[in-house]
Amino acid sequence: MSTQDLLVFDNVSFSYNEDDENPSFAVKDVSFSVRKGEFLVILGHNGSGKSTLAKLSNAIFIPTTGKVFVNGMDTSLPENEIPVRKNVGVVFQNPDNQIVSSIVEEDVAFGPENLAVDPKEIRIRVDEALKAVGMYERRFSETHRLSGGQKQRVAIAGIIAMRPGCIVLDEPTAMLDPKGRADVLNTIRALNKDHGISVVLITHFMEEAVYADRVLVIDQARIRAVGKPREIFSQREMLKECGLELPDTAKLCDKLRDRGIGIRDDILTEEELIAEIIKRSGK
Amino acid sequence: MSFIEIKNVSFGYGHKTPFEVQALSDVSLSVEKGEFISVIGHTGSGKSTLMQMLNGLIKPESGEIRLDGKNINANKKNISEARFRVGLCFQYPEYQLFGETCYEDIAFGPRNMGLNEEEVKNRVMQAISFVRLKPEKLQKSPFDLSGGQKRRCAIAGVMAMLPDVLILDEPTAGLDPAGREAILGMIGNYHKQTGATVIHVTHSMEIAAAMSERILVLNHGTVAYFGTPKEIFSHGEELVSMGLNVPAFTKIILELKKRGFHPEEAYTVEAAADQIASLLGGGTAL
Ligand SMILES: Nc1ncnc2c1ncn2[C@@H]1O[C@H](COP(=O)(O)OP(=O)(O)OP(=O)(O)O)[C@@H](O)[C@H]1O
Ligand SMILES: Nc1ncnc2c1ncn2[C@@H]1O[C@H](COP(=O)(O)OP(=O)(O)OP(=O)(O)O)[C@@H](O)[C@H]1O
Ligand SMILES: [Mg+2]
Ligand SMILES: [Mg+2]
Repeated sequence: MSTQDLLVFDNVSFSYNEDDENPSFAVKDVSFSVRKGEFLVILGHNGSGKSTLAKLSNAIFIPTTGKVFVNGMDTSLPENEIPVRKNVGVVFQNPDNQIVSSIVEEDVAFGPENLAVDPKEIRIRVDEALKAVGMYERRFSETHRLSGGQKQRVAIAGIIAMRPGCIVLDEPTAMLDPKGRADVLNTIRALNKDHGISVVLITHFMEEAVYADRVLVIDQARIRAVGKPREIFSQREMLKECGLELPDTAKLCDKLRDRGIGIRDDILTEEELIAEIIKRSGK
Repeated sequence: MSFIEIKNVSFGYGHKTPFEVQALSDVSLSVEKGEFISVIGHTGSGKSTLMQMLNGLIKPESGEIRLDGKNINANKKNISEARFRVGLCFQYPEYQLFGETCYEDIAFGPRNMGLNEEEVKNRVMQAISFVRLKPEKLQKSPFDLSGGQKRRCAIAGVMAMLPDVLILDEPTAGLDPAGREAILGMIGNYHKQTGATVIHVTHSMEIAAAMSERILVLNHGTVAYFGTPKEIFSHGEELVSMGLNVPAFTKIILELKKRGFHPEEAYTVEAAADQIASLLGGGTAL
């Protein structure tokens, strides 16, 4: 474990039915760490254990065996619960489940209030968090009047206001329209790039993994692969076995190869493909 | 006369409360028998409200909905006919499951239609083959299934009624890629094998472009556009201003145009690959 590691999973297993004769494991023998400032994406089929990992990361669940450390603190010790939650914030899939107040700024203040932060300090943090997600102008709005994407951004602001070093987001874009998705992704990227917050993003959209520093693939409760996006998306057989696919641009490149165009097989983004087409056409 | 006619329909939630919302305003459109329609629109644009109206769950405050010439809300007989002929799979199908077992859940609709147990069983078996749910899951509680399996069970329950109109509200949200592909495949099979009309709500421009004969675009409770994928995605800028977009493959084609190439429009991966291959002097699919 290095001092650069904010969140460490050390040989973690978790069972929802550990008292049964034959317990089954939602997470099995998982070890990985999230470095300071890292953008990590987690991919995996339905039921592979992603949400369970999210809940293990800030002491909502405690490992059945193995340990989770946040800034070196063991999450299984009761005295660490609050400092752990200060350091790792989790945004759940459905924003409706985590919006607790009827007014936007009250909702954002809820987290830091629970951490007993000084009221003056809370004021500063709430404004800052709302600005970071682009919702400052809507601070007095009623939360139930917000769109899905706006609610999701308020939920993220609530987490930012707790000033965690790491934010874990569980499928934050699953129910959003294209603009809502883009807004939430841009917000997450800015937090990571401009504020140095480590991000763990759980998603079923391969396009969202393209810009990650590292991608973790979970298959049936276990880690199947870890690597840079280009390494992961070059393993086509592995992806298929795990119920995953290629990002749209890479799919298009495969179709070009089917048509006899010998295009590079490591293209992931639109810009890379356009550059390659320009180069090949000799323009 | 079209198979489904929606005439000047309006609906609002929470009248006389501070939370009043006009969900649909003066919506008119018609759908022909056997069409495959996708519905797109920003969150809160009224998609789910309109879908629930089509099988009589929500009654228009003004205007009317006609199915096969009959106003579905005219009387009890018409409403119950609409419930059987129009199968609706909700946005959150988890809330639609309530049976002790998957079998009971899927059998619920056909039983309500007055079929005998033999016929009900046939319908259940046919439906699970459509959705490729394994027969051994039939005796399990729907609550012990994974997210993707729950969704299959809910869709099977709707397909088991063999509806003339199959409506699916974001059937692939939250599914992994393999699950998405499987569910879209089985919706396509149902459409081909039964000739039913399919209306499908999605936030994916790529899926809408690849699957539909026509696309309905809702914007703040009104119809912005209703046309072929080609017509719809020629309005790129307007779609972006409505919180939507063109498919990823179309974006690449548009960008190539800006860079001085002359590809034809393309909305699907296959069409985009054909265009780029011909720009690069390659052949068509092997
Ligand atoms: N509360 C629970 N009780 C019992 N089993 C559960 C519970 N929650 C999840 N599971 C099981 O644990 C396994 C992992 O579930 P988890 O929710 O972590 O998967 P996931 O990767 O997040 O899936 P999805 O992509 O569908 O959200 C699954 O087999 C699931 O059925
Ligand atoms: N039960 C309800 N009570 C009050 N308002 C509602 C209710 N259901 C929907 N609304 C409101 O009506 C409008 C239309 O909602 P609808 O659910 O039809 O949108 P949608 O296009 O399906 O959105 P999404 O893409 O988020 O599913 C929205 O402003 C929504 O907040
Ligand atoms: Mg999950
Ligand atoms: Mg909806």
